[in-house]
Amino acid sequence: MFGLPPETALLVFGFPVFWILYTIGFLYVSRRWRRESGDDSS
Amino acid sequence: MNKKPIAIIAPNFDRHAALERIAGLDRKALARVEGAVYYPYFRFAATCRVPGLFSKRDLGAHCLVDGRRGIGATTVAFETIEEAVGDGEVLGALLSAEAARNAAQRFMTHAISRRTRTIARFGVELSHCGVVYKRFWLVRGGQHRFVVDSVTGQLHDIRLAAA
Amino acid sequence: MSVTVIAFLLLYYVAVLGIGYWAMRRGAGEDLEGYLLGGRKIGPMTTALTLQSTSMSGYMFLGAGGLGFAQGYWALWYAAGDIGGGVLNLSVIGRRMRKLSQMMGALTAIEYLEKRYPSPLVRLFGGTLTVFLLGFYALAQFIAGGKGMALVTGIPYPLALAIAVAVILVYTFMGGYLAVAYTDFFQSLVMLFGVLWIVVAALSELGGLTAANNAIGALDPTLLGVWGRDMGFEGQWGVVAGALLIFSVGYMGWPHVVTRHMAMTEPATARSAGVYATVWNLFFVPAPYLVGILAILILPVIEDPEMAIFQVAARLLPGAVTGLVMAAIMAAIMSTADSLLLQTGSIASRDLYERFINPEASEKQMVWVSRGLVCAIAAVGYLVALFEPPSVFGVVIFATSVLGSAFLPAYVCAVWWPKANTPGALTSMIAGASVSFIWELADLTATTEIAPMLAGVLASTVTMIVVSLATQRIAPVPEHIRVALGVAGSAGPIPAGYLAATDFALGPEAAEIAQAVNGNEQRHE
Repeated sequence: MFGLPPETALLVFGFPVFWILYTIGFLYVSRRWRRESGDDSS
Repeated sequence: MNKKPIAIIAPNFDRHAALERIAGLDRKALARVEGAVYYPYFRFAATCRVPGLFSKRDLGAHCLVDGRRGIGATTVAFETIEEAVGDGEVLGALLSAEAARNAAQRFMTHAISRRTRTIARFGVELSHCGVVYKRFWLVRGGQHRFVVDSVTGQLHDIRLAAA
Repeated sequence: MSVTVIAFLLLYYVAVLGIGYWAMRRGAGEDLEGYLLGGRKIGPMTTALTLQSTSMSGYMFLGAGGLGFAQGYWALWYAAGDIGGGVLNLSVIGRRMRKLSQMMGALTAIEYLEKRYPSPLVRLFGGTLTVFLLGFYALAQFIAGGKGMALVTGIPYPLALAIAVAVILVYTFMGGYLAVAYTDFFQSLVMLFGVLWIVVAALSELGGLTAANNAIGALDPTLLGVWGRDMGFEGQWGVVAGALLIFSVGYMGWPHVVTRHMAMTEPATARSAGVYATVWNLFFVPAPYLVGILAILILPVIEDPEMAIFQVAARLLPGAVTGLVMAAIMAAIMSTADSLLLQTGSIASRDLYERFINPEASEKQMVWVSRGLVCAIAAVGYLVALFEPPSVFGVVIFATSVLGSAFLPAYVCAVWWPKANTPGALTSMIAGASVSFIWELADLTATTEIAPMLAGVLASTVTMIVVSLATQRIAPVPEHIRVALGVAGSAGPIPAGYLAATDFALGPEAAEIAQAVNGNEQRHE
């Protein structure tokens, strides 16, 4: 793939895929987090 | 019960609105307003010199300091009204005015430094405008109790120590 | 070409100042006041881009490029973790940390640690360690700024370095106008555009990615593999683990990252920031490593591998674009340096000076302490960068390893493990810092094939668990913290419907009211 050996292709594309899935998972798990504004005391 | 007048932040949520806030979250549970509590804040008007392009600007702001925990926050300008409330409903301030002033000073300096990402003297000048209270409605929802902020309508459970 | 580059560099800064000025004048009285003092939102896109652009710094443009040039595709082990660093941090500690710091009224990351693990030693050790390592990270930015400017403008390195350091100091002491969100946004866009252009130009110069990889393979097939040039890291999973950990969880040791969590306005921000972080990182984290790898083909042998990206840009981009892009990169470096120095000053003055030396310190004294320390760092940094500059990569990895090892368990357990107590935290910080530091100094990586980051994190995590459990009886976690963590009290868990609507900003008031109401009820029985 793109002239890369298989392990390298896994490194280059595998981790991004993992993080995309992780992010989607995070969005799902946090779907109930409140949407209204809170105070900003910082 | 003795009632004395205090300054409270003009509320937007009355008893009925607070009840509806809680009831609306779980129609099956019984919701009931049990009373109100008045929480103290020290109020300050602040002017700060903020570094701007080619010169410094004086910005005005309002700052509230939590009267029991000393936590600072900036706030928009708000109106206050006088209301007579019973002694038992008022939470007294635990901070001295001086401690509150220090907390406000510290908080404002920190906030400006963080936002402008600058290490500088911001010349924060504070004038103390007294103590104001905010009404929190105590509302029961099912087996749990909540406070509802009468100004913003926001809520939080109050966890009581297990019996 | 130097003249064109310098001209466009200056043009860029004029544009930035212009935008800053326009933003200030635009009747921005109310907006600016809100933004500066109250947290009025500028907009999700702007917020996201400003969050991300502050992490683009000298490491990206020098360290990453240099590693790609030197080791080929091995470098992407570092990118692999980095891509997820943003969302990982946000998802694991972001919201909880915001809530807890709110409850405890902590303003800085170190103060937060002391409040959660009450002991002056936590503040003393944590603060001192952080200041020391932030100084290193700032050094990396000085080196990056100086070298970059020297290469691109042709100004001799000592002078370029002095200019870079001076500009950073000006920014940090007077920076108001440069820190308006709009200029950060503009800078991010220019950098985005610039990095894309460099990548596209490099790829088209080489005839596409496949052709480039084939050519690299023909030159040296080990550069295409995952074990580095000449298979130098073959089978060294301990080093690979270190590379994966460093920019995924190592971030948690950085106060400017952690402070961002504390400043989060609403939980929803964490969600959108998480998405933006991942999307941004997917494109921009691998890019500098890739350009470094492609530089193997584009550039002849170069003296300093860390200059690979700058040299590729100088070679492939039109002078004007080089000027603009270099300016944006400089701005990113200076912006990062400014954040670091600000944190250093803040921790030194508040967490160390005011806390331990002069509790009655006035604002004036605190500013003197902050600025004094920053100047000292600048002076020492300048000298080190001038005479014996280490590689940006080396410095950043070292500093991140030690800080990450020291603080990772402390920050994570602060919000996830109610049994994490003060002795546990203190010993874990000391263990993590010591192990990673010694590992690095004694070059134990060579013999053990385990990276300092991995060794350090293991040491600190094990220490936290063992010591906390062993000392639960003699040093239990204080009740008010258990309340703040939501583990103390109440009849059972709060139902989901109520929980979803809870505003955690009201936590402190709720806890106070709970105590007062509880006290009253007990009296009435």
